[in-house]
Amino acid sequence: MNNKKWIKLFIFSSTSVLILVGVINYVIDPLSETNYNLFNIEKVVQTVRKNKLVLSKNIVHIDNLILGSSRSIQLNPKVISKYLGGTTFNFAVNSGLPEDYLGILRYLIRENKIPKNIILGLDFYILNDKIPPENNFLSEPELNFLNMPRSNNTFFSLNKFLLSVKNIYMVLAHKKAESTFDINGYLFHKKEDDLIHKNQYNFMEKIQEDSTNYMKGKYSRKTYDSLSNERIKYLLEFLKLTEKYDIKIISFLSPVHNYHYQKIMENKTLAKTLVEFKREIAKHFNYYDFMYPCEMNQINENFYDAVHIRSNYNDLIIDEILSNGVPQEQRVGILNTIKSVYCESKDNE
Amino acid sequence: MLFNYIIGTSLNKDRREGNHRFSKKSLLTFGIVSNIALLGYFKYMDFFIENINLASGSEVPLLRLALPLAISFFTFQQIAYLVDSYRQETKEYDFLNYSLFVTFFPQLIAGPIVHHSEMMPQFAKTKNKVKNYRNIAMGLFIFSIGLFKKVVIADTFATWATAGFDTATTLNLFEAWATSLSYTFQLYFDFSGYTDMAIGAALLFNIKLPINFNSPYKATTIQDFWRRWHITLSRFLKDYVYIPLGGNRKGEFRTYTNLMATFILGGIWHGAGWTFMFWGLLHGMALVVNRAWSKLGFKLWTWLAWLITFNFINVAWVFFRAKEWDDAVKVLSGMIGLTGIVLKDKLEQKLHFLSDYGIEFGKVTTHIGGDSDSLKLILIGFIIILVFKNSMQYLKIFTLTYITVVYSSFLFTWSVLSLRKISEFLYFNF
Repeated sequence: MNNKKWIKLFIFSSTSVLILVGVINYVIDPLSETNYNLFNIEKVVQTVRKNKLVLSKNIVHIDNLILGSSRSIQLNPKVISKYLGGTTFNFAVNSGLPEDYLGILRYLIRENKIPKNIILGLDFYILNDKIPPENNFLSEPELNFLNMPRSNNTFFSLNKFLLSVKNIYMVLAHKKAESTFDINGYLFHKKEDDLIHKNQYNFMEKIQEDSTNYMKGKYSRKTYDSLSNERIKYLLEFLKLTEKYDIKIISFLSPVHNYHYQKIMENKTLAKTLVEFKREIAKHFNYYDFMYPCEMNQINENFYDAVHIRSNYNDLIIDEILSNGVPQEQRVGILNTIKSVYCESKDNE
Repeated sequence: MLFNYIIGTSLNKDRREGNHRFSKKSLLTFGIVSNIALLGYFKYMDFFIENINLASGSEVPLLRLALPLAISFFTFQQIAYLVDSYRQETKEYDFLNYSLFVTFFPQLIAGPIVHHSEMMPQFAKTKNKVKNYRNIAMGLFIFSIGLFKKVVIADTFATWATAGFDTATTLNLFEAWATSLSYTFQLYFDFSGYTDMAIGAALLFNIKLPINFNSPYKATTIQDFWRRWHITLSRFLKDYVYIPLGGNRKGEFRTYTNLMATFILGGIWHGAGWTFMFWGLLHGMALVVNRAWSKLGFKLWTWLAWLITFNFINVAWVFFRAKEWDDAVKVLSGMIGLTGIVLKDKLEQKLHFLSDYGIEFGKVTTHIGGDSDSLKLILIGFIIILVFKNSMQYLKIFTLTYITVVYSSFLFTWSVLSLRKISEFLYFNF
């Protein structure tokens, strides 16, 4: 073989493979990025936002709306409706951020499905501006008010190609992607539950593993050192809308396992940011704080991992934030108001 | 660039016009001091202020200057040019070629640190301005290997190294070793991957860059390591620091102090921080011990010599990587088992008695976000660095066959399809 032929073959084989992978990924579009489904293939990866948008369209009106992240996704709408009456819809989405709250509320206002109450599950990471807006948020035109394109939406991706292949296999094998949400957006089944029932679930291992992932991802200790002005702005806009439409907000800060809380506290930067976070939120509205070391957060079986709680704990939270019947001494959540957070942190200082 | 070119040419002119030697030396000193001052201002000023603040309790604000890209590399190249002009070892180059020598894009950012005598003649050669298909084929071959080393191998190890150094608050024995070894491999595959890509890109323009890595982790002594790792930096430090200091010509004691001084300087060159300086000091000390050991005529079995050398390098990289002393202490204390040992839970039934000695059972690499893959990949890393030839050796035996084209194309496409995020080269920081 001569040099020229070698070069031609290299260029031809490389570009052919790249183009082939790109075209397959584009046509199959396993992550539903283009909203362009050439062969009407059911997607193997169903994004939570897309699922919930579809489910919300089928509901005539929403009285109580649940917002938050995956940590609020198992707040049971039926239990909430027992306390507040009316219809409840769980619109909590994976890695939910303030832009999600605002985007969802704006969308529901446009759809004339304005809720009377919003149960807002807050997470410590939501004001970290080092976390970019979720791609799944950006790819939903009905929610995305940021006018930002998806990042990293290349179709020349090996991971995406593997998903495309999986998607093709599922179509050929007539397998369906199963939805795990009920008509009210409630995540009624988690894969982890199967393992727990079979006694094959190592709680502590999952707690440690997830804690590490959170430390790396959601609030990497080298980066979450200040609160995002941009996301506070979204939160304020969200609050303005709730005032305008007379929507009541009932909010809480999601619990974390004591192990994870300890990890946060061991890091001076994160510990300081957490105090600032609690103060900042309390400036705008009162909320119940479940993110502190307590007996309930020490029990491994209350958690799937470091930050995701199981249904019994979710029900307890609903009970506490919506009912006045729980005696003070039995309460887990602490009501944080602007007065209390400043006094408490002063005491600590 | 213009400044250095003028000084360099003046030093040459001085020679021809027979000017007084004193003024020539002053000119050289002025040139070197100016370069170092610029490097010092951009790279070391905040480090200096931080230490002054710490020592005196003052609160002088940090400058937080953006570091000009590749400043450490082009400063060294230009200092070498000035010194050689002074030594009358340069020719009369034109400014365009001089600028190309300093800014030649493939190697500008992270080396190899090139010498004017090996680059300028290549730029001037008319034959090099003609398309050469052999060089293009070789360039694509070596570029593909480099890209794969960086994107697929180094970036995979980077995940565990970053988690262990920057995120985890505690590391058990295996996690600490996985962290340090991951960084050791990451650094090698990242930096040598960049060098391969630089060599490959330069070959497309018929320019041959010097070899920078020669299987450094196969070294059996620390001296051997420095003959294989970042070869062009070692060459610069030897020619422009160690030998001018007196090298080994002024007795044993001076040789040792010269070695220490050279390596401390090498450490500081890599970054403004005490951990870098300490890393340089460790290598300087190791070279002194190595030299004394050889002088005394001691010898070790090859495998033992390799084991000691590799482990020394691995431990020293911990200081090189750590952003703070605490991070280094965390990893090292984990490596010697001070923060606990965790064995795979599958072993619990057989080795339950070990729990009486404080050994726990569970997931081994929880704190670095790894799984059994991390340990397997570290093992593969060892196989690659110890068993396989290095990329430059493969380049030497490169032939035009279907196998090489499939191999190169496979590595290239895999790398491109794995490019999913911005990931800088480690040596961009230096």
